[in-house]
Amino acid sequence: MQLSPENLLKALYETMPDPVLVLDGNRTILAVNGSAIETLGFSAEELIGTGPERLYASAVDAREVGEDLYPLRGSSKPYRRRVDVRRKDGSIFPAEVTNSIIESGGGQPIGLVAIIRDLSAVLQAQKQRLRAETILNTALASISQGFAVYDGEDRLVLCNDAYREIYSISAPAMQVGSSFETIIRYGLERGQFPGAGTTAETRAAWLEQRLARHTNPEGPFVQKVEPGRTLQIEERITGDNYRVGVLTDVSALSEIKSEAERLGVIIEGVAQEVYLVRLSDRRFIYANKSARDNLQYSMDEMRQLEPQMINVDLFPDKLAGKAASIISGKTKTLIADTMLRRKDGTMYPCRVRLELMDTGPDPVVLAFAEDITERLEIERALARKQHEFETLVQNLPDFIVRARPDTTMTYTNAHYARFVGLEPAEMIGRKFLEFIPDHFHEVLEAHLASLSPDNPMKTSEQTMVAESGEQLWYLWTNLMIFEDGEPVELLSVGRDITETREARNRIASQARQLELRNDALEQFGGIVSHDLKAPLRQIRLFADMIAEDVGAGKVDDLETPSGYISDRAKGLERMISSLFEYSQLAYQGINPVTLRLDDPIAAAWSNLTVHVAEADASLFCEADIEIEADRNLLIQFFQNLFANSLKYRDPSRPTEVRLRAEAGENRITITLEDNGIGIDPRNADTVFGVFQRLHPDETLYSGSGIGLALCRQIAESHGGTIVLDSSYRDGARFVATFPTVPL
Amino acid sequence: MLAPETVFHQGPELERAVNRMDFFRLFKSLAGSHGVQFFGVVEIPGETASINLGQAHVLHNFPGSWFEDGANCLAADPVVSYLQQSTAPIVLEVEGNSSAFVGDNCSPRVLVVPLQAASGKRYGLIMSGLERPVAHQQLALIALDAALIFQRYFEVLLSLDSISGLSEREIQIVRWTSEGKTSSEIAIILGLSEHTVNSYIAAVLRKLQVVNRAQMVAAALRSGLIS
Amino acid sequence: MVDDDPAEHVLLQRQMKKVDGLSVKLDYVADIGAAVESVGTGDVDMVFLDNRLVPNDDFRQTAPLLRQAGFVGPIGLISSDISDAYFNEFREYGVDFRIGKDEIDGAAIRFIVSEYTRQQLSEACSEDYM
Repeated sequence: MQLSPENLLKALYETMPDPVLVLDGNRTILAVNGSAIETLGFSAEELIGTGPERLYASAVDAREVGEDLYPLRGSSKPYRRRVDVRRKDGSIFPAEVTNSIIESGGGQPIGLVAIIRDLSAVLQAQKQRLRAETILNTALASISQGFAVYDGEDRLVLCNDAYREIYSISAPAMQVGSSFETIIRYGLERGQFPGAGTTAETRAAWLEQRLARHTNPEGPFVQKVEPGRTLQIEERITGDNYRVGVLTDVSALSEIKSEAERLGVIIEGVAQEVYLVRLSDRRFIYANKSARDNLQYSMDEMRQLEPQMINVDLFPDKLAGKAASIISGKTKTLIADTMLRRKDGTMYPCRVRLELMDTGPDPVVLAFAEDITERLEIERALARKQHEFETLVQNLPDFIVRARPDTTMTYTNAHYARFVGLEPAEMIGRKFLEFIPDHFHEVLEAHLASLSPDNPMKTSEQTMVAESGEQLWYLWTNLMIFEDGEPVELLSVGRDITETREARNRIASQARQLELRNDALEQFGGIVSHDLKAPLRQIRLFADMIAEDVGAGKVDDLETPSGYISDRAKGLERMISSLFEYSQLAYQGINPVTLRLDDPIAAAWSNLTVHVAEADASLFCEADIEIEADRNLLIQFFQNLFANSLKYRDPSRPTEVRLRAEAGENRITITLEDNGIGIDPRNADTVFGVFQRLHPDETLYSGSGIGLALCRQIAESHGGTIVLDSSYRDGARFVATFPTVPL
Repeated sequence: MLAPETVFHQGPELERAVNRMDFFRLFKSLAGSHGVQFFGVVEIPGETASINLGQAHVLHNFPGSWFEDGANCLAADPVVSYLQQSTAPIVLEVEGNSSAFVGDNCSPRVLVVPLQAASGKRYGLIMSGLERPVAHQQLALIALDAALIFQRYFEVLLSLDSISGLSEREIQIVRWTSEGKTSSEIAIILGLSEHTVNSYIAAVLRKLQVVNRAQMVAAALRSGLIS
Repeated sequence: MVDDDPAEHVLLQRQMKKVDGLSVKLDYVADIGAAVESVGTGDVDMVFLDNRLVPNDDFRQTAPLLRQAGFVGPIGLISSDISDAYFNEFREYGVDFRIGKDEIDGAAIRFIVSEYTRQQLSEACSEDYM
């Protein structure tokens, strides 16, 4: 076949690897090439004579392409569009359709040729390239080192996140395309580089140096950046004049280094002396400042010395022996007290701690030495203090006892031993219960048993009998020391409080006196309002009566009211003088003397001689007992009791008064009985009140009714009592008690 | 013994008062402490009615000769009409012989304190024959004391009218009455006076709102107070 | 009147005389035994009882004795001082009223007489036996 242009075109059309379709002016397919049949899966017959719409995967594409091209117009440019094409089997492939208008000889558009270019492979390749880029970026981003690439014109091509993070201050300036110098200047102005200083000059100098180094890299260098990082930077120039920078954070490394330096400074500066001795030649390789200062050698001098040259008493034999165990590794450390000699020949005591540091080829011994001059002084001072304390304790007026919990003494001071009448040494091992009055044992044991870890200290007051027989009161403070809840030691301090107690008793006694006086005063108030008011009222009413009668001219019977007035006035007078007497007694202190009880009894009886004779009374008395009391008050006491018996006598028989006194422990009991008319038991207590008027006819029993009140007052002012024995039927029986010594 | 100088609302006597005699003593002491001999606590009847001194709750010591039939006081009496019309304490200067509360040869000055019971009933304290004029402050003090005593009087005795529930003593007396005992028999049984027994019965009648013993016993049985 | 002080009798009698229109016969006895005997005669309408009568303690012993004797008239307790707490129990011991001796005057006597002779119950129920 001749190779005519037509034939060439046809051949081209048939051999085109891309599908080609020829359509007429009505958008009907006129012809398809072999590739179209192969690619699209339709046969030529199936395609020819039909429209192209079903070949579009998207109906939108099909419509729009149709609208764009039809009706056909003359056009020099082919119409290209990216579409998805559907094969006969339904599968879809991405394609680019190129439509070219076919014109008739007259220039009229008569059809078009559509070439479909399958883009699957192209798109696939594109996708793979993109993936490779992403992997690279991810890889760069994931490495901890900073990474940056600058092109031949020194513009940033790429950098990873770490790079931006390291230069966090400069980061905003890191735009792709920015020059290295721009980025550096941005950071410099904002303090990214602490090494650049803060003045314009130092920064300019730093920048110049940095740019020079960037232009001609000479291997890695270290740079400090804010905030607080140290970087190692390595820059390289690639074959195509790109600059690749890799930055490694070495902050941690530089810290370790600086810590080691710091430690060295500390060791140099500590007050303790530190030495390093090389075992191989037994020479000092290091001594810290404190050591050098104390020994007065310089470091160079020290290095010339061997340990035994400065040691006074251990070397050579002893230390060698001791050191041997360390050198051999048998013991890890060795502590020894020794004397060291200074350069000037003076010496000082020292406690040395040796430790083998290194078992390698060149082992060293580390020695810490402490100058113990001061410590020894302190210890001596402590011992001195201890001695002083001991002396103090020995001479304290208080008793000091240390004992086991069962009161077995482990220590007593001299004062306590003296009190007991023994040497301190003789007391040790004995229980202090032995030196306490028997009757107090139980109390003390209970007291000690009550001490607990929560409440380990208590005080108790107890009597102590001295070797001389003198009885004294001591306040003991007992402290039980507990360990893990178990009592381990008892510490007791006893103080003589005999005088304090006496003072306290005196105060209590005074308070009691005061109370008695207050009672009296209170009673006095009651009397004034009750007993004195009643007769006054009567006097007033009788006086009114007289006035009325006189006013009415009735003067024949004025005797009755005036008789009452006179009578009540007399009664009032008696009461007032009795009250005076009573109040005087209430406010009077007692003046105790030692006497035989018989004496005031006899005096009282004889004071009543007239009444005694009148009543034909006899006294039977057994009271030959010693008592300490106020004699005058006792006379009054008995006189009032006797008067009471004489007053309320039974007129039908001779009056008998029996008085018996018995001495008990610390107290005397006095019993007085008479054979008179007796007192109703219901009045057992009221008879002792002031003005208790038990008998209405005061003319029969003259008296003011304060006799027994006075008796009670006297008894109580001595710390005694008096009561009516209401069980006694043959008259009245009073029972009084007095302390042998008034409180 | 009452201490006349004592201000009542501070004294224990007020707390102790339990019967009409005690309240008579308290009012008498109040009057006495202001130099007044005659006084009365009266119930104020409705408008234009006269006052009857014989009523159950009246306490007074006016001589019977001052009033008609010994107890009646006309509504026209200026003291009565003041009590009916006012609630403020006052000292009235009564003209001539216009008021029964002014006795012969007595001062025409009458002190009147209207009192109001919590039940709503109105009473009045009348103190007649004041010799001296009464200062404003003194009048206020008298009115205060009168109100305090009256309040207590109301609590202890007058309010019984409106309180339900009988005391143990009252139940005993109702029970004996139901067994046909007379007041004097009950008095002997319980060791009381006939007067006191009757006082209790009168109180029970008021509480149960009945008028005679038969009704009293019936009401007590009905309400289960006795069986 | 029961009082161990005869002066009180004289005084009370005088006070009573001063009350207009009052006609009272005041008997006097000095102890509770005589008082019991006296109320036994049936001639006594009212008793003025002194609180303290020797040898008894106080009204808590004496008043019940009068009641035991069948006395149903009013008993008034008189004393120079009635402020003690135990006086408040007076009604439980059969006493009708209490009064301080210094409170007794014409007005008080008039009130007592009118109060304790007054008919408290209406005619309708005075003694309506069932």
